[in-house]
Amino acid sequence: MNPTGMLAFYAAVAAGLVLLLVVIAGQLSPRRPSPVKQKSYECGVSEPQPTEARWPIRFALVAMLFLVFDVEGLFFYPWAVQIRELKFQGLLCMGSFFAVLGVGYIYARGRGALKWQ
Amino acid sequence: MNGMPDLSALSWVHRAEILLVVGALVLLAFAPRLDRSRLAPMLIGLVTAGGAIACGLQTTGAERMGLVVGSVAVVFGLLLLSSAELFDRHQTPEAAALLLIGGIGGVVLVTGQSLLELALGTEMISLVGAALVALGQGQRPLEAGFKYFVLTAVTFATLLFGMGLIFVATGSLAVPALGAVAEGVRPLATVGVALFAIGLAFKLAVFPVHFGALDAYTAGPSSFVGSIMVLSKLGAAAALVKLASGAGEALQFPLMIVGLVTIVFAVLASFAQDDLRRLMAYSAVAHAGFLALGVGSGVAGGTAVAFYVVGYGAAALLAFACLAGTGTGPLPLSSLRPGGSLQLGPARAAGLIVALLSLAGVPPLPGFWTKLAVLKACFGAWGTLATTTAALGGVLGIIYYLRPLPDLLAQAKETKGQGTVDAVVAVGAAVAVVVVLSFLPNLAWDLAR
Repeated sequence: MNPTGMLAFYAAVAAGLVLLLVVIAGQLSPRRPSPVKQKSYECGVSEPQPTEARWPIRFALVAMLFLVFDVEGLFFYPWAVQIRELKFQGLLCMGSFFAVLGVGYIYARGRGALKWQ
Repeated sequence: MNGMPDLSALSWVHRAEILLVVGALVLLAFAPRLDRSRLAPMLIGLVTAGGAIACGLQTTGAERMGLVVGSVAVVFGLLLLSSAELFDRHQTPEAAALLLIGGIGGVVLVTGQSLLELALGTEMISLVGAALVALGQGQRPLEAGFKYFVLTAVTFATLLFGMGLIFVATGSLAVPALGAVAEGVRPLATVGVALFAIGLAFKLAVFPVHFGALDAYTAGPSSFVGSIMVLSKLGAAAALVKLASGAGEALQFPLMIVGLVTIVFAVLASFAQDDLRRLMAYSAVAHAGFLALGVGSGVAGGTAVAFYVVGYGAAALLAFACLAGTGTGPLPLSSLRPGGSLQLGPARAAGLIVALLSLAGVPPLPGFWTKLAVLKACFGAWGTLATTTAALGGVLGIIYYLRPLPDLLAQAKETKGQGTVDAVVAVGAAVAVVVVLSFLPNLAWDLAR
């Protein structure tokens, strides 16, 4: 099969599978609504305390910064595997990448993004 | 040492990019200290952008044009830094760094040879645009910045999907020549090129994918909107020219149609606008239509498009330099009347008149020469009907550009209210560029070739 046909086949299978799962879930799942199940977080157990409690917006910022630096840090792994083959040029490229990442950290710290209060 | 790279072999484009990156890093690393000074972020940015222009002057062709025009757009944003309508006055180092990063995005788009470079350049300009808009005062810029951010995500997804299909069809991330692609996989490559072009069309802000950019141009800080507009149009047009040169008529015909529809739509929509900034945003959409028309007009259109970007860029930068410091809220045309809330003073009112006349395409201003070049390329490629439609759109557009002119003329006769020094310097520099290009359009043409 040529790539165009493969793509069409893939798209048809993906769409068909989604449709099938929605129909099966709708037809087979029993419907026994209860006040607990109607709540926003539902896993069959009533929550021990209200989930609508406030949580500090700071958490979102720290989580976002963690995500950014964590994902960027992943680039070190492939470099570490190829460190001998890439020689000095690899070191230079990774050094420049680390400098950009480092400035990002200095900036975030300088602007107080890591202070909880 | 073995494997030591030869730094002297770095091209001038790479040197300019490194310079811009270093400038942005310095601004960010020392942001908490630099924000105490009114001039320091601007000066660091100006030195860096000036260095990039100097590097650009050492190159030729598209590289020269991209580096010079992109860096000049950054310079104007930096000049207006202290008049910028920022939510937090201490964020000038961040704004300056973002402008420099936007400049890198523009350079990458103009000089990039692979689809990956084009996608990355688009992403850099888009994220910078969204952040600069969101830094503005009040709720409107936040909403507009978020819309622009969503638009950016959609754009990048479209670009990536298109790039993936092209890679499956050709096994390469080079801009594909559709005629040379094997017949069995050509439909796949064609769909990929179409998706990639749609992604770039979002950035160019042509109908019907103009909505996010329209709000960003309306609600963003005026000091930065001119730079964002010019960088986006420069980058997207350059990338589309590369894509269209490989795809041939398969992309050129749809672009010609999209260009004409965009011109007609933007001109008609502009008549209903009573807000000066919204009017300028619709003007940007109409000019995007002319750019799409130029890209769709074959090889001759490529040079005409580059020429158009230079002329449009000069007028757009001038217009937004005149509006710098006017906040991020609505600017009803009625506020320009004597005693109204928007009194620009003689220098900026005169500058805005020149900018509006150039955007309208009134001779001998640069807007006239650039429209003429695109219409000539269109006539050579598509004949009378397409050219007449575009020309009519351009002529009708003059009507809405003329609406604020009587009040601006009255303001130009006033003797007080000049605006801040940096705004007047930016306006003066932009007027000088527009006047020089009016009488020596060959300077821009040589840059565009």
